[in-house]
Amino acid sequence: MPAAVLTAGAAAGKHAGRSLRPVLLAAATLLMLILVGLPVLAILLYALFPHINEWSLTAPFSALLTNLTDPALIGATLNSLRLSLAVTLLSALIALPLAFRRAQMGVRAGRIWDALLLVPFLIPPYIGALSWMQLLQTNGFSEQLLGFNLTGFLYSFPGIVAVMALHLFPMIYFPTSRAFAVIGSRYSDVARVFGGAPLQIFARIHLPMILPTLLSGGLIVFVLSIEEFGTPEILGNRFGFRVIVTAIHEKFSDWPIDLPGASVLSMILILLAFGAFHLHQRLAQRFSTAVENQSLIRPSGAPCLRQALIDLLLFGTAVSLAVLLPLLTIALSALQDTLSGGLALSNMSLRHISALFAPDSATAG
Amino acid sequence: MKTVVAALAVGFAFITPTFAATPLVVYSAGPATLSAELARTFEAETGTPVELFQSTAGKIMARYQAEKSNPHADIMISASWGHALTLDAAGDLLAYSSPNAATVPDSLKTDSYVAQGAAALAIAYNPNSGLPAPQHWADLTQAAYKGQVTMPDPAKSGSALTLVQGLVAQDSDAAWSLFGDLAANDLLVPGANKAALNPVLQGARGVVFGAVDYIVIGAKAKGERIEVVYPDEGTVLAPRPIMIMKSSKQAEAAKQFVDFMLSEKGQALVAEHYILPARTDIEARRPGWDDLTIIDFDAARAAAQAAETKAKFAAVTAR
Repeated sequence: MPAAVLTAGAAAGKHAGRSLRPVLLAAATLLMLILVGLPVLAILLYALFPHINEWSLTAPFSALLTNLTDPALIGATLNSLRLSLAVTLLSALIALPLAFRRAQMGVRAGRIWDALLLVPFLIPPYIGALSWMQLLQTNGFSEQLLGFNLTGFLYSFPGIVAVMALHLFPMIYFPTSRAFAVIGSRYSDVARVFGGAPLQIFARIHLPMILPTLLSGGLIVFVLSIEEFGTPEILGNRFGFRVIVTAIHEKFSDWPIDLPGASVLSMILILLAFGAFHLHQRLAQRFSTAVENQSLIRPSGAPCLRQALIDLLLFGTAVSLAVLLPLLTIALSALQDTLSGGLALSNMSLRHISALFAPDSATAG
Repeated sequence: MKTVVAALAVGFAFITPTFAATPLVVYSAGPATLSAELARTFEAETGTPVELFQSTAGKIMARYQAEKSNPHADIMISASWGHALTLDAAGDLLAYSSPNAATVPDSLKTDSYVAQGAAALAIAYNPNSGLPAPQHWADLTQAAYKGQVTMPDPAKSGSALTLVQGLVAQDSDAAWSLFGDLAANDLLVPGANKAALNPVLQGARGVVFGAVDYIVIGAKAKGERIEVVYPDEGTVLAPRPIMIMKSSKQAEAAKQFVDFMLSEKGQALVAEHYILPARTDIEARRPGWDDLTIIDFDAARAAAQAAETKAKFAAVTAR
């Protein structure tokens, strides 16, 4: 009897689901049009009609030419592309070995590392960049505790790339580690029987099979980097490194406010993101793979000690750099009574933390 | 039945706000706690609710600009006198002279806007840095300060722009060679005011050229090790204009707000944040009108040349 009821219920649900589908689709489309379409339309109108804020269509297209011929803009666009490509590549370089090893790990250890590598998602990039600055700058935490600073590296192109990649690589790590798990070990077992070297097996079998996943993860990292404001603003400002997003911010950070100019730059950003998406679609079609008979069998048996140590070193380094160091720095900064007091026990206080719970905290700056 | 109730609920949601008193919309730059206290005290005194938009001076101007076809703001409080000059020239401001502005110096009031208070621009240095205590702007070009000086970017900070304008107005050649020498001394121009001050508090650098004094005095009051120096060859004031927008449909309430801001109570709140109160008869909790040497210059003319000044500064200090 219960089984019959269940089936009937499922059938009814299925039926309702089918008739609801067009409605839901229409609702989702409408929602997307409002949430995404309207702002983009506003940006487009601003870019084309500079006086649209006064409901006037005068001087159309005048903002386009002046902004597009601005030599600083070409530099900023190239910087944006260069930065995002470098961040995507470095993120993939960090994520791939971790993801590959993750797929062969025991269940419990894997879950712990996964949980830790979720933490970077929780650190806002702006705060993350500030914490790296506080950690590595002249007289920063590293200098106060260990006697060295990395100011030169931090305020450089490789520095920005490293800070952003350490924040974004989990975007590639999570999907690719699942992809490696789905492939399983059957193919590599076969390859090994036929004498394949580990690196060869990785490059010739695993990498091509996870390529679609890697491309999607890479696309997300690329788009997130090209639209990131915090890190380029904080670190890039120090050595005159301008990207499109910081140029947009400059257009309305002080008088004269240039909303049309900011809109033209935003259009470039939107076009770049679209271009990346299109390229991704084409590449993904070309390299699409399908795994038959997915094997979700967990790797059996304890890994050998040497492998376990290598894994520990690999994941330990990644987690220390991407999670522990930024979090520790943020925690230490929050506990400092005064910025100028430095790292000293006498300068530790809960003042700033208790201030969060004060009645005026919503407006306190 | 359900639909009727839902329709009624939606209907009421649209109707109710018209029954409540229309709030006075205030866009304010500057210390968030000050804006909030002013709004709250004004609400308590007059019963007029205040809707506050708190941001940076640039952002409130950007929002005003974006809403040009459908203005929301009744009052704007900016941290940059140049903003008021520009909006006044465009005819966007409602003329009003508050009776409470009698003791505000003439340089800080016009027929259509008045200062809430003012900041002075200063040298701020960290005594822990081991640097000699600077006395003059030009001291910071000495070898002892190489790689130690930061300055807020005039393109991002209205007060820093005022300082550049004042020094240039005082002696153009001397000012530009000063900025050139500072750049040669490895001057860091990291962003707006806080971005210039933080490296000095954290010890990465030692001195700020052109710090907004009330921010530094406030930091010092909280225990930061930082000292303020006003060079006796002169500095500039960065007055904070309060403006009533011509588009305001609540002109009376807006005038009341200006009166309140310039009342003893309002000015005392301003003084509590270490800002120099606009009224000379209100006691400042920091170096006051008589303690500062102020460079007197034509702000309107300087505002007209602001774009060139910013561009020249960027060119002179470019690395």
